[in-house]
Amino acid sequence: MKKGQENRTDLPKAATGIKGFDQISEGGVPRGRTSLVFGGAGCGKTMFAMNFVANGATTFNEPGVFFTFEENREKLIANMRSVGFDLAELEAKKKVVICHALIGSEETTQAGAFTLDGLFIRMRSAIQKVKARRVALDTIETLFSQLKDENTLRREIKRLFEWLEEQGVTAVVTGERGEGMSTRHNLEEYVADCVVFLDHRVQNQISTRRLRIVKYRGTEHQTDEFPFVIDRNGFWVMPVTSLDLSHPASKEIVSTGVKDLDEMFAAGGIYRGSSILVSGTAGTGKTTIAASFVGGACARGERALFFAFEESKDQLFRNMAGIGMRLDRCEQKGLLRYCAVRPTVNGLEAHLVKMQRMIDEFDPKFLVLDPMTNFLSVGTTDDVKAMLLRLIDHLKQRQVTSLFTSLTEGGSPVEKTDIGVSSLIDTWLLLRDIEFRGERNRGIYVLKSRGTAHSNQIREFVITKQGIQLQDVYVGPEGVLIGSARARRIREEQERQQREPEVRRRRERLLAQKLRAMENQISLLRAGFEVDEDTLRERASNEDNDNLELLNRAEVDYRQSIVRGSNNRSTRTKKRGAK
Amino acid sequence: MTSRVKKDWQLRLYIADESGLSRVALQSLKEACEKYVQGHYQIEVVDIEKQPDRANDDDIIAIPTLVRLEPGPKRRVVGATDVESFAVALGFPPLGAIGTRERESA
Repeated sequence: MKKGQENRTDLPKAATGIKGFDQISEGGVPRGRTSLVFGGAGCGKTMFAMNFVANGATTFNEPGVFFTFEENREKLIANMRSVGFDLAELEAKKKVVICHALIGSEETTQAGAFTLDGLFIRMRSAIQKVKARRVALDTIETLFSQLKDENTLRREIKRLFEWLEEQGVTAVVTGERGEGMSTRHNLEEYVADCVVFLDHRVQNQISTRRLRIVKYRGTEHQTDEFPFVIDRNGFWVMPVTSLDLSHPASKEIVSTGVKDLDEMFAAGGIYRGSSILVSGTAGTGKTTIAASFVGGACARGERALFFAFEESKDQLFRNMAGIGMRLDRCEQKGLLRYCAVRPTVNGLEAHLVKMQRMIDEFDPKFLVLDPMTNFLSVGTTDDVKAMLLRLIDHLKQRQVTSLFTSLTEGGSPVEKTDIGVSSLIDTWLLLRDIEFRGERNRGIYVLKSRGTAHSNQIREFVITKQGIQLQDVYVGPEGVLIGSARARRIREEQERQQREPEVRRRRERLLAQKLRAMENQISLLRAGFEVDEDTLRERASNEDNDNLELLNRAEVDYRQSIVRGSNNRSTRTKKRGAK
Repeated sequence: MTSRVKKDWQLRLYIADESGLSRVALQSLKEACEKYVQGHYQIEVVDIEKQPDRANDDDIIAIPTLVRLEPGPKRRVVGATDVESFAVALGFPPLGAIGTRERESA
C-alpha cells in the first residue's frame, strides 16, 4: 500500500497477499474489521479465506486462526498443500491455528435455547495461542443447517462479528450465495465494510472465475469484475497493471532480425517494448517472420519466450533450421524458451496467468504468441481482446517487445483482424499472397508503425536457405513487378548490359576508320600543295620578277585549281565550294 | 427395548461458566435422569471456559451442548430445555421402565 493512499482514506487496510486483489481494493481488506466473501459452491471462497490467513502468517507476520465448518483438518491441509502452503508446518510454528466444527457428522437435535459461547471460547483460546491478528470463518452459514433457531443464530453471529472487532483482528468470513446478489442467510447484513463476490461460470465448456468487490465502505475500489485463477501458486486475481496507461516508452530501437525489414523503417528497426502484429492468411510466413525476430533477439544475447499454439518445439526447430535459423542453439544457450500448448487446455484467464508467470520467471526481452487467433477457440472476441490487453499492458510495463501473429481468413479483408486488436498494436506487418500471372508470391508491408516513418511499399519477400530476404522493389512500365515477372525484367536488363561493350567497340571502330580516311585526304592535299609550290618558285627564279602578267596567270591557275580540286573532294566540301 | 434399558446412560454436558442457560440445562438434565433412568446414568459436566481444549476435541460450538455417548450412536442435543424435552431428545425409556425392573429385581 502506498503512503498516499493511506493518507487519502482513513481506513487502514490489511493486505491479503492475494495477487491482484490488494491492487483492486487499494490495499486489501479493512484492518480490524470483518469482510464477507461469498459465492456459489466451488467458487473459491475457502481458498480466498485460507490465502488470507496463510499469507498473513508467511508474508505479513500476522498469525491467524482458520475456523472451518466444512472440511476437516487433513483435507484442508492437503488442499492448501496443492496451492503451495504447508499449513501443518505453519501450525507447528505457531503461526496458524486450524479449528474445525464438523457438527454435521453426528445426529443433532436442537432442543432449546443456546448461545455460541463454544465458538467464542474456542476462538478466544485460539487467538491467544498464536497471538492471532487474522481470523477466517469458513463458512459460518453451515450452522443454519444444523441449528434451526435462526433468530438465535443471527443474534449470535452478529455478536460474534462485534466481538471479533473488539479483539482487533481482521476477519474474513465466507458465505454461500443465495438468491440474487446476497448470501443465503443474509450475512451481509452484519458485515458493513467490505463484501466480495466470487463467481464461477462455465462458457463453452471452459470455466472462468470472476471476482467483484460489491461493497467497500469508505474507500475507493474497482467495481468491475476481475477474472481470477486458483493454481499451484494460490489465488490470483488478474493483475490490471496499467489502469492509467502509464507504462514507460523506450526510445531504443531494436532490430527485427531481418536486415531488409529493418530498412523498411526509417528508424532502422522497431522500438523496444513495442507490440507487433503480423497478420496474414495461411502460409504467408507468419511463423517464419516471428522466428526471425526471435533469432534476432537471441543474436543480440537477449532472452526470448515463444508461445506456440500450433507447432511443437521439434517441428518448429526443424522447420527453421531448414531456412538457416538455429533456434535449437538459442535454446541451448538458455536464450530461448519455447512453450507449446493447446489453447483449449486452459481457460483464457489460466493462460494469461501462466504466461505472466512465465514472463516474470524467465524475464525475456522478446515474446512471441503464435498465433493469437487460436484463443478464439476458448473465448469470445471480447474476452480475448480483454486478455490480450492485459497481457500487452503487462509486457509494456516490463519493456518486453512482443510479436503476435494473427491468422486472417482468406477472402476477408486483411485489415480486419479477427480480434480487432489493432488499437493495442504499435507496429502492424501485413503479409499477403499476391497472385499474378499464374503464380503466387509473398508480399509484406507495414500497415502502421507508431512513432517511426516507414516504407509504404509492398515488398516481396522470399524464404531462402539463409532466412528471409526482401527483394528490391522493381518498378517496370506495368507497375511493381514481382515473382517471375520481376526475374525476367532483371534478366533482360542484364542482357542489355552485357551487350553494351560490343556496341561501344563498334562505334569506336567506325570513328577510327573515319579519322583515318580524313587524314589520308589531308596528306593528299598537302602533297598537291607542295608540287604547286615548287613549280611556282621555279618559275619565279627563271623569269623576271616583275613579269606581272605571268604572275597574274599563275594566280588564275591557282584559283582554277582550287575550284577543280574542290570538285574532286567530298560532297561537303563541294557544297561549301558552290557557295 | 430390553437390550436398551440394560445399558448405562453415559452423558456429557458442555457448559460455559455458570451462565443462565448452562445452569438451566444442568438442572433439567439431572431431573430428567432421576425421573427416567435413575441409577443407570452418569453425567460428566465440562466447563469449556476452564477447559477450552475439550471444546476443540468435541467440535463444540453451541452452549449448552449435551452429548449422549452411550447408548450409541452418539447424539447431540443443543440448547437448554425442560425435563420432558430432554427425555425425548435423549430417547429415554418410558416412565417406570427402569424403576419397575429395579423394584422387581430387588
